[in-house]
Amino acid sequence: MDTLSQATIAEFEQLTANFCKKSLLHYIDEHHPDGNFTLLPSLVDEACAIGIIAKANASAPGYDYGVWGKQTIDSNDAIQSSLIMLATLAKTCASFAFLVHIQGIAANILIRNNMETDYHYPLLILYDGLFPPYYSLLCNPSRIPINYTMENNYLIHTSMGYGYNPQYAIVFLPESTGWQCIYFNNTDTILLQTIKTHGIRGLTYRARFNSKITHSMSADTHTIEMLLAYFWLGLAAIATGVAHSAYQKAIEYTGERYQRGGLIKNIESVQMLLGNAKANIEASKRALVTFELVDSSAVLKHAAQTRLTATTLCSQAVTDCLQVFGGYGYMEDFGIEKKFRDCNTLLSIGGSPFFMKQYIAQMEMEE
Amino acid sequence: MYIDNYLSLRYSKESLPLLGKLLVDGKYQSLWDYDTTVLPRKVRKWRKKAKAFSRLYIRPLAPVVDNNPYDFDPQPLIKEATRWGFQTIIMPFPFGSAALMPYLRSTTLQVAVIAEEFATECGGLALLLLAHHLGVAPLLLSGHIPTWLKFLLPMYIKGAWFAKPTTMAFAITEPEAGSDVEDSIGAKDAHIQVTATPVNGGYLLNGTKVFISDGAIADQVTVFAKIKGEEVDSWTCFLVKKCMKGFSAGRREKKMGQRAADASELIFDNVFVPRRNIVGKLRGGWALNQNVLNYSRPVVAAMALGHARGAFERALHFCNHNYYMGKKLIDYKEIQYELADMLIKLESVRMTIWRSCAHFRACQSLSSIAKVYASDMAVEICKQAMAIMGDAGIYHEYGVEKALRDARLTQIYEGTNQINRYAIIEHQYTTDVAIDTI
Ligand SMILES: Cc1cc2nc3c(=O)[nH]c(=O)nc-3n(C[C@H](O)[C@H](O)[C@H](O)COP(=O)(O)OP(=O)(O)OC[C@H]3O[C@@H](n4cnc5c(N)ncnc54)[C@H](O)[C@@H]3O)c2cc1C
Repeated sequence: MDTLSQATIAEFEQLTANFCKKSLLHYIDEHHPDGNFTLLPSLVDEACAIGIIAKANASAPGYDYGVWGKQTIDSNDAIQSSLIMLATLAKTCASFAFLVHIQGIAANILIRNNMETDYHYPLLILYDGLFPPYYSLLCNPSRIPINYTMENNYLIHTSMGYGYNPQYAIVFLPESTGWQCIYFNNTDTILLQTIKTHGIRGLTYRARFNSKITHSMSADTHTIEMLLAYFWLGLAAIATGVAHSAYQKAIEYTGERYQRGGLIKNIESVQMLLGNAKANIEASKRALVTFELVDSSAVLKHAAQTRLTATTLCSQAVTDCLQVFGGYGYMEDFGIEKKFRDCNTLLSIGGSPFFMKQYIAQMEMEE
Repeated sequence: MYIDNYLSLRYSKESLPLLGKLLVDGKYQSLWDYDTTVLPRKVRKWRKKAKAFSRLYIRPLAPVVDNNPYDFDPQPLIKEATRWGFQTIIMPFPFGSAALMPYLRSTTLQVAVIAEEFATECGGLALLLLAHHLGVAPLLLSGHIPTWLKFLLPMYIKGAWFAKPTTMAFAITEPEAGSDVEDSIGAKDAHIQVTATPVNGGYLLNGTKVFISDGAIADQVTVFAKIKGEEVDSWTCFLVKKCMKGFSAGRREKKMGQRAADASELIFDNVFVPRRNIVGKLRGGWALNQNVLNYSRPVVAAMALGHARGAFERALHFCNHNYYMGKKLIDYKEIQYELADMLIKLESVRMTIWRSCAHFRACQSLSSIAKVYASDMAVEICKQAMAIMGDAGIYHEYGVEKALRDARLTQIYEGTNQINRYAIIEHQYTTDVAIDTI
């Protein structure tokens, strides 16, 4: 079902771009090369208020068309719109785009389960057993070794998750009968430890649960597949946004830096770097726009292919752009090293290329 | 997984007749050990020593310093490295601690072998210790015995006998001249600002250098400046001491990786340098610079190799100690495939580097080939190591992502890989490249 015109998608893109210019730009400054994390809650609130992020609340502006809003469940255009918004955010800051992405997925889960609730800042935990993502395990969670205890409506478990300053949590767990999705609306009983990461810093946690379950929802394989598909596609979109902005910065720099008696934009090897980066970014964009909601099993494979292609190409593009800056690219001040780290993190998170390749092959064999 | 039965590698040797046994190698020996055996005996010793030192002193410091480089006092480590003889390895006795016979076959091999070991444990600490040699290299390549006696000999005596290190740095890069001072074509038009004005008894140095490794901690710096009113062909190398009036270290850069070593701005404000502190010939700076780079590029290549090896070793450790679905990661065929691929690259890089060091004199094209190939492969290997670890690959605690951050720098300094490609052609333009293939 297609619901959005190209003009409307462009409006969402513009809305996001305006938000970046007005608010998100201040998130990164010379003292906070990875972002001023204390600003995150207010930025997320603002993004929710103007409809960039979906909330599981029908009256929220982003309910339908915010990132991973309700319409993305069956509309290709809504998915494209989410991807474009994520890429636009990522041009300014990949970490914030990632947080929006996680928040959106959490909202989508709740919307799918008709759980209209008001909430803040999710912690999203995709069960460790899902990663590396092997297709057979996704379909048969009963084969995954259990490393949690659930008794008297309590969950005792340790796992990795993504979010910021979470006030509620969504956890996926494998069971003998299928997947279960658990919701906690109070994270006071969850012990959180921030994990230092290569890029997309400040948003990864090790969480220890000894917590009362607020709500338990069943999650059929299709739902899990769709969420994983969103997860991977979002990473691809963010990587594309990062690479795009790295490229723009590199182009600008070549018009300012002099070496070999002229601007470096005239140096052949610099042009080769830029040409390669541009081709990779365009290919990655094309991989994203060709994504379509097809029948359920192929969706995930298609998402995996898109993610593998886009993140690999973008990671190469960003490294080429960094090279254009020479030594300056290696320093925090120019912001390009952050893009390099962020892009490599997007390449690895939740299924690195190594596992994505196997995953795609396994799905091909299944077919 | 690979069971010791009659199909195994070991049995394939044992079942041969005596003479056959002598001709085949059924040993289960690490590649590190195999490679060590092809080195000259004294270099082997340095390799083992460097490995021991790195594990003992560098390994525990690496994550701490990466996290907070600004509170780190490097002096104890430098002192220890000096005590072990690593900081004077660039020359043989009586000027340094390098073993003489292997030195006569290759001036750089011993440093390269050590660099790999240091960098395996930490890129930043390796740079901290090795950038010193870059600073010393102009003194060595000046080929001027009085210079050696005046500067290298006291440095060696102080270090070897009194464990008092003298740290040096090498300063060519300027804000407006980066690649241009590493490329003979770009150099013609280089916007060099650091100038030396002749005055009575010496020269007054003015201007700013940037990105100088160890710049803030060095006791002495080999600084390249053009003579006032002249161009790059007047470039001259001066030995500037920390205590000289008007010389100071400015801003310390915030780097993505190799964070333990500072990259600093050096400010020269009417620094008087006596004539006797000219290194090599007056106006002989460019030649010195080009040869120093040819000399040091295999060492940078060895550092890149070390970063990659570090990533490989940590990923291997991870695969040996983590289980997936009840099975060790290392026992998955796909993981083995990837590890093998990384080993292939590591071995080929090491062979390229050792080959580039196989001459007494550094060879420009071989040096640049080693530097470009090693650094490009190192980045690939680090990415592969991260990939097989899944999400854990991006966590600081495993040190693999750090290796990638560290390795990325080797594609930039000592001339970007683009500049190094031109250096290869510059050297081969009238030889290999000119060969008529029809
Ligand atoms: C951490 C660190 C430590 C360093 N340590 C030292 C040190 O101890 N001492 C020292 O003197 N220097 C040091 N450097 C400087 C380093 O060698 C330079 O950064 C490097 O040579 C590149 O110069 P640049 O940064 O000015 O880049 P630029 O020269 O501005 O290069 C920008 C881009 O243009 C390309 N380019 C420029 N000119 C050409 C050309 N002629 N042909 C082809 N491509 C070209 C480059 O490949 C690059 O892609 C260090 C740098 C870093 C980052």
